[in-house]
Amino acid sequence: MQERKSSYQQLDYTLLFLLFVLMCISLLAIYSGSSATTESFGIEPTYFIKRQIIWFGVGVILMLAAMSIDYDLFKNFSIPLYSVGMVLLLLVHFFGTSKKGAQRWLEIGPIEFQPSEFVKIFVIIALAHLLYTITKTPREKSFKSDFLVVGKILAVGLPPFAFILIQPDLGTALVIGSVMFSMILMAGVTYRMIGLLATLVISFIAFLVWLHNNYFEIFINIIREHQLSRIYAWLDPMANIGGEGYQLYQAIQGIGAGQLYGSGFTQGAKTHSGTIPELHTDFIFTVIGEEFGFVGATVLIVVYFLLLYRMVIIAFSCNNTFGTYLVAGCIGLFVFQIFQNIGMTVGLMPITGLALPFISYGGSALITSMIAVGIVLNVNIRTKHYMFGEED
Amino acid sequence: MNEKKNRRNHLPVRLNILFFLVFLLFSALILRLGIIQIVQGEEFQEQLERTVNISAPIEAPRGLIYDRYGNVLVDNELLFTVTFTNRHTPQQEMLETAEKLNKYISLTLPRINDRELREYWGLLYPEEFEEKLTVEEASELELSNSDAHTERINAITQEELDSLTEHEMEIFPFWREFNVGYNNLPHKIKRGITYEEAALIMENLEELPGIDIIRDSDRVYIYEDSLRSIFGRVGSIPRDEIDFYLANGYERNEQVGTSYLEYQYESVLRGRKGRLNNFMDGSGNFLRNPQEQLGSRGNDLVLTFDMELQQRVQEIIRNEVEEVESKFVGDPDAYVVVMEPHTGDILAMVGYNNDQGTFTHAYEPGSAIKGVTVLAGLDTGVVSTNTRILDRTINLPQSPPISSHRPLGYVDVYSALEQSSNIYMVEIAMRLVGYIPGVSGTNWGNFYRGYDILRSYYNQFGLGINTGIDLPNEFRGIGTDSSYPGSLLFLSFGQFDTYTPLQLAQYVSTLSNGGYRIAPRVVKEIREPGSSRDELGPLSQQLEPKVLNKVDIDESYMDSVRRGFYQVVYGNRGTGQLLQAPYEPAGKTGTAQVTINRDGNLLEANNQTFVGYAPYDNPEVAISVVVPGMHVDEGGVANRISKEVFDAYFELKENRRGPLLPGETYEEFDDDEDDEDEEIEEEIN
Repeated sequence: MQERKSSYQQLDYTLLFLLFVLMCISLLAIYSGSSATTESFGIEPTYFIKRQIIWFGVGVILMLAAMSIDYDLFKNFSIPLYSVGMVLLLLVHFFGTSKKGAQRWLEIGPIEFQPSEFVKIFVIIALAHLLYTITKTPREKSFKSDFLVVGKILAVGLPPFAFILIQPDLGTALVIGSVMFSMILMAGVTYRMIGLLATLVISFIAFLVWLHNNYFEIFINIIREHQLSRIYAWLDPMANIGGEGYQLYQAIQGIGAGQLYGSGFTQGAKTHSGTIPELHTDFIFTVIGEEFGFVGATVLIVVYFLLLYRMVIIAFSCNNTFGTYLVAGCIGLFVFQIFQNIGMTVGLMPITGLALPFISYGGSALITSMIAVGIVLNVNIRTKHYMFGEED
Repeated sequence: MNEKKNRRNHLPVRLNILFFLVFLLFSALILRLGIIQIVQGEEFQEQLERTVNISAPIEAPRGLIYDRYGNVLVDNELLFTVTFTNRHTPQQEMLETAEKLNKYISLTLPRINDRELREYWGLLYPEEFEEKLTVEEASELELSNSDAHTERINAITQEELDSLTEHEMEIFPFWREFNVGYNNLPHKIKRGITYEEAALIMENLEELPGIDIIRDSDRVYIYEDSLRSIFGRVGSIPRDEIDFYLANGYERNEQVGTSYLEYQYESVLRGRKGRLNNFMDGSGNFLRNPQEQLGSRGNDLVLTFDMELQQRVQEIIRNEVEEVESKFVGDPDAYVVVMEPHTGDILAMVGYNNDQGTFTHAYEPGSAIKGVTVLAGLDTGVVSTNTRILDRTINLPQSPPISSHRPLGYVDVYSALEQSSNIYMVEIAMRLVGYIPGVSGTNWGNFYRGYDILRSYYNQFGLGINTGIDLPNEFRGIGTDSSYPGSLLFLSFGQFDTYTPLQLAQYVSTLSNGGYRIAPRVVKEIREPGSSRDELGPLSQQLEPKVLNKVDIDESYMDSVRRGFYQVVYGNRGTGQLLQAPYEPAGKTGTAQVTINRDGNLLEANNQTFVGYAPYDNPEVAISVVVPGMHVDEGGVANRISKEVFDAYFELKENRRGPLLPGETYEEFDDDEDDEDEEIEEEIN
């Protein structure tokens, strides 16, 4: 065994710094975005940021915890963790509590949590382990073997995907889908296979559209009414301003009014009007767009981009394929959440209830993200750097 | 080995693809942001500005009114008021809201407008209403919609109107009030509802679209009717003045001062309105968090009045008038104005029936104005201080005989004033126009000039012109009909032109202070709201006394008249000897013979008057007293009132206890003193 640099020295400080920047942006945006809520409930203006700081603290501890165990050992836990996740999802399905028309929460005494959040991590570990075992032994390059690989990945990914979808929580389900996609990409299947899968997905969507137009009674059994109205609102917010389009229209108006430089911190008229629901949680990007303008919003996106870039670099330099797959899964996790959340606030994507990683107020989602970063850093500090090229 | 290499080599490529996808997605986001924020940003910004700045005024209370010693005279009380905002509300919705609102409060109208009631009926019974004139009939007659509507309204029978149930008639006033306000502005439906009613309505606001409860304030008059008519009223903006108020930043539904002090000092008393900034979206929905900017009370007025003196004078007038109530030929009445001659400050202003009458009603004052007639004679040189004239009865052609109250023999300037000689004044008037009775070569030809000369002197003292008081609607008195020469003689001793009690007070002040005609005033200072109700706030504006003109008459002549006024009180044969007192007043009595039309009968009566000041050598207070329409046999009422008013003024200088609130008496203090006396007696025993 080679002499390894101390893990302390190998820590990716750039990534940690970017994380810190995101936390700062988060606190500013939550402070401003929660003002309408704190005012109307008559609670102190720092109520939400105080709690968010506590969540950050908890998140950092869990991140350190996720770093402390050698990720190679995760392989041993992947099947038990995955099983626990599935049991939790089953419990949610039968005994979960409903909020706002979705059954996503489990109540254990005073604690209430969303198992689907943690299942994301479990799925990443399970899929990484699966890919590691598949690629450990040389594989025949054929369409048939590709098909087998994809089939195995879907067999692991689809059950949690389906359970989460019927909660309903389309956003989180799609996150799982995004993780599956990045795993399939990394599995080394041929582009032909990837093209085929893409065609299947697109055909399915086209089929849905066709159903909607011709057999609406069947369609409405597949896509729920509130999801459909969200899609309508996304396609034409102005026409649906009385319903689902309202939130989106308000958000776009607020962001647009921010223009190049924004209205300034706590100066956003829309932000402080109390018209946008979920402003400090799902719609927090509105606050950044309005108060810090195009410049501020772009800075945030660039920070995210750099964060993902660091992760790609870590994946690159990792000489343990299991590690690379883990990091790739995390990239899939983050990319989709970031794109979907910002995309819905600016009208690029339909509205789904997804938090903006590290920025939105809220516990479960933040903790999952922090654990994911912990896993990435775990891979990072345990990567062996050799003096002279790579050797196996 | 080769295969192994392949396996490892695909990873970097796939990672690059993944990274490229990230790049694409993020680029899409930035592109989209660019479109929203940079390309369309300005448009959104405008939309936002357009929709956010919708605000409604919050009523702020008017300024308080204090007397010169800081006693609150006019206060505000907070009210709960129900408002309705008509946002082009459909009639049917209004009826529903009215129905619900009627569960909490009831409303009555002062009078019911027939046309409105018909409209209401038509709304309640649309089908029957439609049948009055069917659409087909209307189109046959080629009637426009509005004409057809009018036809239908007129076709409603009285029976049908009478058939409206009691309940429907209860709803009607609400519906009517809902319809009279301006669109989009809260209209007050009912002021001063109880706290319980307000709470009930607040709890159910959601089912009452357009209804709101606001905090409103109403004037409270601490001393009930005292000076009430001087304070004036607060009410809705009169329709014909709406443009003026709108131009000055008022809202159509605002309350403004509509008369007297409230009107005159509207800009001072007006509360600085707060604003309720409502965040409103493009479709006109009010949003969750309106921001309240509270207004502040308007500035306060400190009046020149001494409320305690005012109350004392009221008491004096009430007692004196009621004692001789049966002796009034007309309605019992009396006026007193108490003024500071050097500042024009009005300390008290009392009318038996109405305080405002002191400057809106005018009377013939009689001899009280002789001071100016004498000055006119002296100043023009037609008489001198040595001129002696025989007071006798003068008979002129086509005129009733003129005499003093009794023949006085030879009188000079001083005794003419002391004993109130009419003939001396008549002589001055005749000499002014160059006519001497019984002397050939003299005639009345110039009599017009006599009016002009005499009136110009009277005007210098404020008689017959505006006094310049800081209140609207001042009456100047009547002095128009000057086409007969004989009337000139009556003018000279105060039995022709009429003057207000306030003009008389200004005249005597001007005489007493050395010839400065100062505008009477009721407002001394304007102050910002104080920290508490009983504490005056910081001074905003000190109003300076305003000298309107300086009388253009030799100082020595004025001295002579003042000496005459002193003799009225202190001379052996003075007509005002009753007034003698340690504070040494001077003045002039007056009795004007008038006829009063009572139920078609013309009856003889006297206006009793007094003008004076005290002390005579250093005047600090001037008064005018008018007791109109007294029976000719009853004398001395004005003198008694004057004596008591002077007494009250000088007593208050020594000892003030503050004005009495309604229902309070000073006896409580007296009782205490009695108790103490009794205790002392007991001790002695």
